[in-house]
Amino acid sequence: MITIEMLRNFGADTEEGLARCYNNEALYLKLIGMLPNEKNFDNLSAALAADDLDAAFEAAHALKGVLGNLSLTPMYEKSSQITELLRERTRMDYTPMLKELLDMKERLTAMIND
Amino acid sequence: MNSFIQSNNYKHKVLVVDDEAINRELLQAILSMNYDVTCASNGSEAMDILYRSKEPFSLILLDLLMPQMSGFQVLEACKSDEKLKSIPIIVMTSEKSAEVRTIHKGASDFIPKPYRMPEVILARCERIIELDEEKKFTSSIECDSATGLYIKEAFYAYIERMLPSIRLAMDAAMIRIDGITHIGRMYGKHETDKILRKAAELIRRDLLGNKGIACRMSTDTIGAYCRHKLNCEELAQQAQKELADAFPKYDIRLRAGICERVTKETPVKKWFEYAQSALDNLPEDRFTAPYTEELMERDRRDAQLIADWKEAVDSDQLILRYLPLYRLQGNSPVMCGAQAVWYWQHPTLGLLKPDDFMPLMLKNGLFTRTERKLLRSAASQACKWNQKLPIWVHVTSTERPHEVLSSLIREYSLTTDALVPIFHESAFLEDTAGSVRVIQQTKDLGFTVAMGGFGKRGLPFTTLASLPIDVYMPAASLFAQINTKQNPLSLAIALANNLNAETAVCNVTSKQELDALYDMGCTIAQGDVLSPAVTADEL
Repeated sequence: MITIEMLRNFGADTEEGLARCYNNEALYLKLIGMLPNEKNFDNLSAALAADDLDAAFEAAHALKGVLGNLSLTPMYEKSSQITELLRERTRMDYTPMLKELLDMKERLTAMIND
Repeated sequence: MNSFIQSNNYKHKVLVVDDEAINRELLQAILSMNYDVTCASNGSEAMDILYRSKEPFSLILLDLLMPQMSGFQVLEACKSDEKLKSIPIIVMTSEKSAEVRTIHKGASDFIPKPYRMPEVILARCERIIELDEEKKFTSSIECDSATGLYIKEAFYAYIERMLPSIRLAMDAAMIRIDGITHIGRMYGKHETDKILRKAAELIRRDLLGNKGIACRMSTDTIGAYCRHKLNCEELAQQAQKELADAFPKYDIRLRAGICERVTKETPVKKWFEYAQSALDNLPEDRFTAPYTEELMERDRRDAQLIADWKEAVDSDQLILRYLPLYRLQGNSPVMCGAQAVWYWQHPTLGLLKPDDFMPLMLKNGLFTRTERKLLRSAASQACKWNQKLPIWVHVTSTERPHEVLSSLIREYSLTTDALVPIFHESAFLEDTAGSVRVIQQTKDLGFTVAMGGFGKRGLPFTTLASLPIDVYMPAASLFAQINTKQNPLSLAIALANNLNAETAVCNVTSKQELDALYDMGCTIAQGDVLSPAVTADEL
């Protein structure tokens, strides 16, 4: 089961994340536990694969909001980077950035399911 | 107020709208401590919840970017819905550019994403709910529930507050919807409220724009303070048309008196008194009229008369005169009675006829004492004349007139045909049931009963049919239109005839008018063409 310590090692700003949850550790970990089911990872991948930059922006933007609220700093920063590029509808190869983001998600999922 | 509510364990209802389950969960956890939280995962679901909810929500927390129905669309839908538009909405967004846009669309505040500390979110929600409740509370005590316009006191207070910064030419208007008092009696307040609401809507749209305010002045009158306009008559005509189209089954008429280019030197309440005066003196064929120098002169004179009245009563400036009444029969009218009236020997204005001051004193409730005196004088004179001529006398402002009349009859050993009491139609508008009862009691004592001012404001036919009136005396305003195409006087006479009553028309000044009255079937007349006012001895 994932712990605050593990999240801190992952790079999360757990102090801020916990404060946002009234220092309720159980709540914070419960919210983190919901992340593997977050549909916008799939939405972003699908939209980028289909070259639909509008839909990709919406998905990235939504992810950024969620990751920010969870204070998952490395993932939040990556999603912000993708969001800003998509905001300008920048045509480029998003695969490396997307992979980085999805890899982090996988690592986190593994910790949650462990 | 909030601490009171919280101390009573009441929780405001808050709706959280966000398509992200994690965000919803987080906000619910934060807000549930103080609020009764409901969540919606998209715009359509949110609208469903809002429409179905029996208890109103106190706040909506709204995400902007959502599939199906965006936050912008929810905001627009709420703000254009009569039931939902008053719910404050806080928008949650990470987009700086969206903040101003949402405020313009009616959002009360925004919370940036990622969320700040929970205390900040709670404080913001609390502040918005409190502000909103204060606003609604203030508006509920400052506004008239039927029209949404200010109540009079708040209206005057706002004008006073605005006044120092007003640089434009402004008008004060009194706008009356004629006919709604009658509609209220026939169909109830619900109907008059609908008409007033529509009138208020038209006034807001055409007269006020964003440069004026309005209030409910009385049952049928709205007061407005607005930019000076040159096309008032045209605007009123247009509004009248729209109002008539909206309520085709009613005969309603929108009319306005305007005090133009009001000045700061005149007290605010005076502007509206002047506008009311213009409205009271509005010609029949017009929708609007300004307050003129001529009216101002008349108002000054009225004020002087009121100021001089007490002395007039105390120092015997009031002189008893008789207006002979003639029965119109054959070629030569025959005297059939005399109306006892006061003339006023005014120290500076000369001899004033009853019409010059009586309506004014009646309107201001100053006639009661003198009316009693008039009744007594009439009874005393009837006694001296051995009841050879019935004396007609107004009992307009006398309380329990049937008792006063019967005690005078006893005191002077008269029979009831010595006096003909004249009641006034306007009394019925204030207390129909009471007036009908008093007239019936007077009639039961054996008096012939007359009704003055007939047809001016219009009594319901059901009331008319039940009234035991012997003689109807049509209002002067009907007689003034004797030469017009409509000629409402002939209608009044025909109606009286149908009610098996007689009609007595006063102030007939020419042979031509007298002939016209014969033709219309009028049975009694009074006026200079028949005889001027005379003293008892002359009579």
